[in-house]
Amino acid sequence: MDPDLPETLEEDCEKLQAAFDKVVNTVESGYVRPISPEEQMAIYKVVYDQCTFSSGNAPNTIPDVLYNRYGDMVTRYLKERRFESAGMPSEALLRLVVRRWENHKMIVKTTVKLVGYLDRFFTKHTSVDSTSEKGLRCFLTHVYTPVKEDLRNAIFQHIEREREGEVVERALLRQAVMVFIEMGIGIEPFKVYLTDFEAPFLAFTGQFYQREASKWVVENSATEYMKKAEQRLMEEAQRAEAYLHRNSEKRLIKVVEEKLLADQQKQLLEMEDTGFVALLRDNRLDDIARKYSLFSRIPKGLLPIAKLMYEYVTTEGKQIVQKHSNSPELCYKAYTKDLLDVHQKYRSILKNQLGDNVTFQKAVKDAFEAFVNQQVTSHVKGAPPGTPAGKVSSSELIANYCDMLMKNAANKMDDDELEDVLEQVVAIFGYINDKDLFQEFYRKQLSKRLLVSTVNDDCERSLISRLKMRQGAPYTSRLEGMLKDKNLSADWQTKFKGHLAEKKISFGFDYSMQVLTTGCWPSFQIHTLNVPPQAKAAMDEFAAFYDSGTQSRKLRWVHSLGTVTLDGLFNKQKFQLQMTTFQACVLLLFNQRDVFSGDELVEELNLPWEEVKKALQSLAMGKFRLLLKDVVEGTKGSKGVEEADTFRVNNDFTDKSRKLKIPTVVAKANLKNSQQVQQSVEDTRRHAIEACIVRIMKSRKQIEHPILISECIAQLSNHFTPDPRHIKKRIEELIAREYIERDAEKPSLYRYLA
Amino acid sequence: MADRRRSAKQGNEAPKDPKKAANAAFVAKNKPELEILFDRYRDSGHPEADDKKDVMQGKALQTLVADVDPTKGDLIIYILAWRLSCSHSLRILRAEWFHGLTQLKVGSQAKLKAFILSSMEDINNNPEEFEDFYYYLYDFVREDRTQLLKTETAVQTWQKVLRQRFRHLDDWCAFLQETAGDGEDLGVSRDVWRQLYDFSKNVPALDKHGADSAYPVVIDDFVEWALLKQTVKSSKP
Repeated sequence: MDPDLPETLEEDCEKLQAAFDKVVNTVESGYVRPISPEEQMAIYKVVYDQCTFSSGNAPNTIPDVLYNRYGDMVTRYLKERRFESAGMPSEALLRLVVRRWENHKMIVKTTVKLVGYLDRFFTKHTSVDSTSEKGLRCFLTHVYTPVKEDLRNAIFQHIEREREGEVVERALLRQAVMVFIEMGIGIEPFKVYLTDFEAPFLAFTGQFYQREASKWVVENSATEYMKKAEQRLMEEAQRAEAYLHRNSEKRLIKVVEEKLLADQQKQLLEMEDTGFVALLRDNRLDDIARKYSLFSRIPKGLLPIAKLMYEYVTTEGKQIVQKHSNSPELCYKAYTKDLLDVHQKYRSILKNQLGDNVTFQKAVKDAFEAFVNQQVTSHVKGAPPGTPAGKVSSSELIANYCDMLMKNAANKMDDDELEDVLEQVVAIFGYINDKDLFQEFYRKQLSKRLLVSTVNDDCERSLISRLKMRQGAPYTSRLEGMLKDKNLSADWQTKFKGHLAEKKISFGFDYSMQVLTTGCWPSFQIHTLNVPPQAKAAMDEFAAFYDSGTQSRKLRWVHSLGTVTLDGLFNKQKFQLQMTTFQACVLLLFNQRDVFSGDELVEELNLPWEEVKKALQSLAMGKFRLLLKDVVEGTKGSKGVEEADTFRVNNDFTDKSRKLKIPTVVAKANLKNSQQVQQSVEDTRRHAIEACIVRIMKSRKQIEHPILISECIAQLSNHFTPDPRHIKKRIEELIAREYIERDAEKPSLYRYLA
Repeated sequence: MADRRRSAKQGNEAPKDPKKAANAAFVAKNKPELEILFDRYRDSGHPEADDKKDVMQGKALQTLVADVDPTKGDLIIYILAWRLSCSHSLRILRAEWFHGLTQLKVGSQAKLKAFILSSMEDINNNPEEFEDFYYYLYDFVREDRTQLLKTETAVQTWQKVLRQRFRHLDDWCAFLQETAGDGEDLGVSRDVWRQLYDFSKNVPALDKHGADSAYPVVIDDFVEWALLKQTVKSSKP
């Protein structure tokens, strides 16, 4: 024995050992208080004395010795209780390990009180574990490590049984898992748990659910599968809470999601009757909602579904277009109604079942843009077979629908209903690419409504303000101008009447006029016309009055829009005849003379033959024959009207009614009309593209070809989608006119020529 | 273009007097011969009016071609006109004849022939020279300079000038003639003329041409047409 060590060392160690043994025994027997305070104090003092023993010069190695003895003690007691874990039934193993650990913790805790001084004196100043740590670590080395795999598998077995539906003792499992957690004493917290338990557990879970998923997919419909998956996810969350570590839940759920949902997603979405497309088709709202909520858990899980949705909605939309293309007569009302219905349906699904998710909103938007911009083939009713069908754009159809709404709305619907419909219509409008085309149609129709029919101001304003909100003020400025003109005209009317009364002027007839601002209104044809003197007087009087009330304005009379009511005396019967200005002027000439030829009428009226011909046709060959066409002797009368034909008043004209409206020659089929509008829009677009190119070139000075194209498209996208080919043509034009040039080295680079 | 070249030949810093003197000497020596040559050619073109006595055109030019090298055809005229920087379409003026040939020190018929043939070598070997020549041609062959070059004329000229250089020349000409037959002949713009050359250089295989190219629309249409023809051909048994 080392001469520096006190003789009492061995003795004291034995005392320590004895006390330790006692502690072990009492703990293992289940006693709460293994050692009395007096005994505790005694041993503590022993340790203390040993530690503080100073043998003069030599450094004190006693604490070291004591420390190691302590370690040996603990190790020995553990080794004595070694057991074979392999082959042990799982429940028994769990109980055993849990109990052993509990005991050990208690033993170490108590023993530490005995040798505690070592901590103060020794372990603190060296780099060894504290006594507590050392004690616990012995368990790790001698008990835990040899059995950990079996322990783990035992736990897994229980978990699997629970997953299969059995009831297991959760408290036991919890304690077993705690062993793993607490094994990370002082080292790195949870490292042991993560490596030795959680990682294998996640793998184990993964395998389990992979098997389950494969089974389910074969045996179940997607709907049932989804329900099962939902349930399992709930279960696992509960499980994690019940006996795993808090942090594991997240990772556990992720694994389950991956195996149940992500890996099987394709199958689930494409299944025959319960795939996503089928759900949409059959309108199974709950199933849709479930699929959405489950797949939104996995990363990028919604993208494939959104794609399917896009495809399905596009197909449905295209079917609508097809249906209307095939119908014998294209009805804008039915077409628009179908669009609105489909839109409502998906809006509701988006909101209620799909949580207004952005990915899906985009899918629906893209789908609508795809089919709303398809042209519909229209067959003109009664056209001879073999006439090529025209193509009508949705801009026109929707504009027609708006026209109908505005005309009938106030009568048929109440305010809220109307507002609702308008909102939906404007939503559909948002999908149209050719918004400028829509505007043209709408403008034409609005002008007709304002000038010819009555108009519900509130409805008009409501729709216009919605369009304004969607597209911005410039888009609707002309429309608003038109409405303003109507109201201003009413004002002028009143003022003029006042003026006439004041000046005591009377024309012998009622006279009203509307003042339209050029530019807001669609262009009308202006014809020269020699008006009868009475009318001329009124026109001049108003022109003078208007001039006096405004500055630098020029008035041009649009006779083609005017209407006249004449008093006619035929065969001693009085009639009130309503007709257009042109018709009236023709008729009034016959007050001067009995007979006129077509040519003479042209000359007298200073009106182009086209218009005179139309007027004559309606007056002489139409429903009410106020004029007679002279038939040349010996020939059969023709149906048409020529310049050489002569006309006279039909003095024998009669009719049941006294108030008649003389119809005009009906304008040609709508197809030609709409083609005109399309043509004018094309022209406007050409200028818009050129202006855009010049604008971009001016600011960039030089630019690469692809960038110029994409910039152009971007800037014009609000109004219409330009075809890159058209843009190219405009570029070539501008090169020829020397606005821009190609770079000598690099022909795809354009430069602005100031 | 030719002006710049001329001044490069003269040299900017070169003192005027010696040059002028050299020119004067040259003129004195060779003027008669050049006059004779010019008149001979002009006469062979049978000009009708007096005011045409200073212009070489039509048949006259053909005679010149025959003298130099009949196998090369109109190319001779084009090259000479280019070198002389002729500013009127399809004709050479007396003043241009003189001035140009004097600058180039070409004094006799033999020298003229040699000169033209060597210029031809030049453009064949030097891409920059060829480009210069090609760009010049657009204006020279354009009868009416207030309008775009007629498609027919353009096709003929291309046949002469781009023979070896443009793989798809025949297809291109066929395409133009086909589409020109549909509507009015819009003509060929300078941009198209120039870009065609660029196209012939840089796009050997038609399917390499991207739809988003910076080439004029008519070239895009041509590629589409030609590719369609190819697939039709290859699908025929």
